[in-house]
Amino acid sequence: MTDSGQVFHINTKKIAPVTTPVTLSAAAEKRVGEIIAQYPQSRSAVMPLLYITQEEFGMITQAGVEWVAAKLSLPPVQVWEVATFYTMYYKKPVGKYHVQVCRTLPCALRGAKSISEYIHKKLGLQPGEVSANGLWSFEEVECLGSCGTAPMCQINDVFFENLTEQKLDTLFSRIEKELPDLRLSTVRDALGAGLAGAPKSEII
Amino acid sequence: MAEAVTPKAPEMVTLTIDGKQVQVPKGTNLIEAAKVAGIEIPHYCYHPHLSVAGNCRMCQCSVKGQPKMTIACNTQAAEGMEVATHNTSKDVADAQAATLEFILINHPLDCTVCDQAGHCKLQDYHFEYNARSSRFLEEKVHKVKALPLGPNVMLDGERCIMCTRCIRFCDEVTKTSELGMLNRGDKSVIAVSPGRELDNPLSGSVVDLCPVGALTHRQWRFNTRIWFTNQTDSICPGCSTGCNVKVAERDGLVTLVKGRRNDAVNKEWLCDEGRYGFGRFLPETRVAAVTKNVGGAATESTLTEVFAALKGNLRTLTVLASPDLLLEEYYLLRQLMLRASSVGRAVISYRKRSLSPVEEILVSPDRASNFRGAQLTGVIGEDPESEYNEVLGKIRRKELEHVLILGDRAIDQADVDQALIDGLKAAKVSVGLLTSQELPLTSALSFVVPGRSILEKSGLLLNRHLRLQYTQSVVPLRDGTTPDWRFLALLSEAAGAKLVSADVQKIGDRELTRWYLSADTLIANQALTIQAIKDGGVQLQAPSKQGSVEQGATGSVGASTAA
Repeated sequence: MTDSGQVFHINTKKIAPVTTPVTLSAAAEKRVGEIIAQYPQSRSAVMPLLYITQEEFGMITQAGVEWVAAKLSLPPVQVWEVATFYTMYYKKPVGKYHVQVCRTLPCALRGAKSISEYIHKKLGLQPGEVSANGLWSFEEVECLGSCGTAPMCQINDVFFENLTEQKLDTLFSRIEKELPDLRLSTVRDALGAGLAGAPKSEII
Repeated sequence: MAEAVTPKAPEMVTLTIDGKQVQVPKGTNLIEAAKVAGIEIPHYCYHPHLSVAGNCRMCQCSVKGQPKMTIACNTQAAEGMEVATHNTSKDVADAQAATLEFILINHPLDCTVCDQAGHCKLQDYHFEYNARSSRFLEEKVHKVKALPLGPNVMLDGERCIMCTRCIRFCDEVTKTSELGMLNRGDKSVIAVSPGRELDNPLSGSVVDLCPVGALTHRQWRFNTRIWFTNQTDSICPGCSTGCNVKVAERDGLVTLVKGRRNDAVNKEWLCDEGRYGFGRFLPETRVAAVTKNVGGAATESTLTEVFAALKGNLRTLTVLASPDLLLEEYYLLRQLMLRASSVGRAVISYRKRSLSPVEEILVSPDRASNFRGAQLTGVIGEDPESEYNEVLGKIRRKELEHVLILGDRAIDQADVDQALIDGLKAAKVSVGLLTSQELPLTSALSFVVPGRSILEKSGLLLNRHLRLQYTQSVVPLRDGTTPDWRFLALLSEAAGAKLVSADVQKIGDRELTRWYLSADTLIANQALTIQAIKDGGVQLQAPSKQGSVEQGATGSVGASTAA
């Protein structure tokens, strides 16, 4: 259940070209201008721009890639090269809250496997699947750099550490109720407010 | 296309490769330096006309004084360097064998159904540098099989070894950047952007570049195994660039066309029109016998009858010649015009065409492969197109009484209309030396003689930059066909002037070329041999400036044999 083992093919069947270009929010457009201006070569901005389209559309879309390519005067396939190289650009839809459980050695030694199985059972989801209400999706990832607080997971862009099954129950029910903003926004260049009362990092 | 050549001699360095001392220009990479020493360093991703990627690791060699092995493609020759290749270093040989084993880990080994089998670098190198069974027992990574990348090219993702030559070709040569590499590691796959295609005028060249069977020609997939074909080094007759090609033929059909390296002409590229249209020079329904049309009824005739009808009318004869006749044939035509002081007029079909920027990399703005030859021999003048139009106009106005048509392409198919057919019908004598029975003009001519296609001839072609090249017939000859040169020589003999010293009934293309090389005063003093011309061609005069293709070619002819 860890890795679907599938090779990502974006063109296994004939796909129609994007005929109507997409538009992004005014805030995003403004931010894109600022980001491009930071680099001597505009093509260097390909990664933040891809994040912005992911933020706007929820995932990497064909229209989004074409938008980035046009913005940076790049051949679209070169934008796809970047988008498919990195796993954190989502080529498939994810839930509003995307749970990433660390499975690397320190977390694994501290019980990440059972945490992962618990989430899998609780949400009833396979890695890469999105729940029916669109709220949840989950995957196992490699080290998130929080080994001292293992086992841990990252929901969207916020860490939740020293996990236990009880802790997860509270966490999930609170998130479902409060719908907090757990994202790091590239457009606003700021982390969301997070879950009230939950510290950003909890070190023993 | 020609690289700017700096006048001063490059600085030379001396190095030792496998104990052999070799002198090369400074900056030469070790693969090329080894070539000079006669040593082959195996490589997949390196290509002399593309940037260095250095990702296949096949060309590793060891350089004295350097702790680790280095890749030959990205190492420049330096003074006093001591290089050991797989020939002299066991470490290098082991590293190469390991590299091959690694490359083959996820390779499907479907050679039995692969079009590349028999001319595959994986097969060749494995045989030569590894030749061991794989130790890999695990499941291989599966990827796309048979994915069309565009109208001409099919991808088999599993066979790909990620050398990125095709990507670099589209980035650096055509600058169209259709191809990219998606994902990473063992899941990497070559792809086009969704909704887009690999569709540029040189797209077929990526198949030539592919060292394995990952990219194949959609048109020629599963045609035949390469070892059942006859392969000939020839010249593409599609336009006056004169690209060097290697043609595979089986049962009289063209089964594969590859670009052949000639840095002075086409590097190694080939356009899709030339490649995939190669077979268009071999019509399906051939003119079977000499025929005479009288009042709409075709009867069998003989060459003697044809010559009898023509020989008294040479003074008023107008010749329309194909733009892909051999230089020898234009020479004979010119001699017929001069010595029999008879033939009124000769033109070749020539139409200028416009090209897209990608086509301009290679393609010449015409479809007249040997118009320079016609100009050199003096058959036509500076402006072939208006001469041709003028003659077409005369035919349409029924002003011509005696017409000789040499070759299927003597009249461009786009120019054939009812007025032209009527004009030909109105001529007293009209003779066509044709290959295709299905041309609309065959029924309009009073005599039709079965001729030979340019793919059935061997001889000289002069490209737009005045490079003399030797084209070889790629398909077997058909019985009962008369090459244009033999027709012209016999016609001249029938009219009382012997042009070729030998018996033209008995000699073949090769003897004719030899005769021509000594007979034509323009080039006879250069003592050219067929072999010298075959080896990359001979430049007759400094290449005309790029873009000024239409400028006159009939100037002084200087000798300079290029490598």
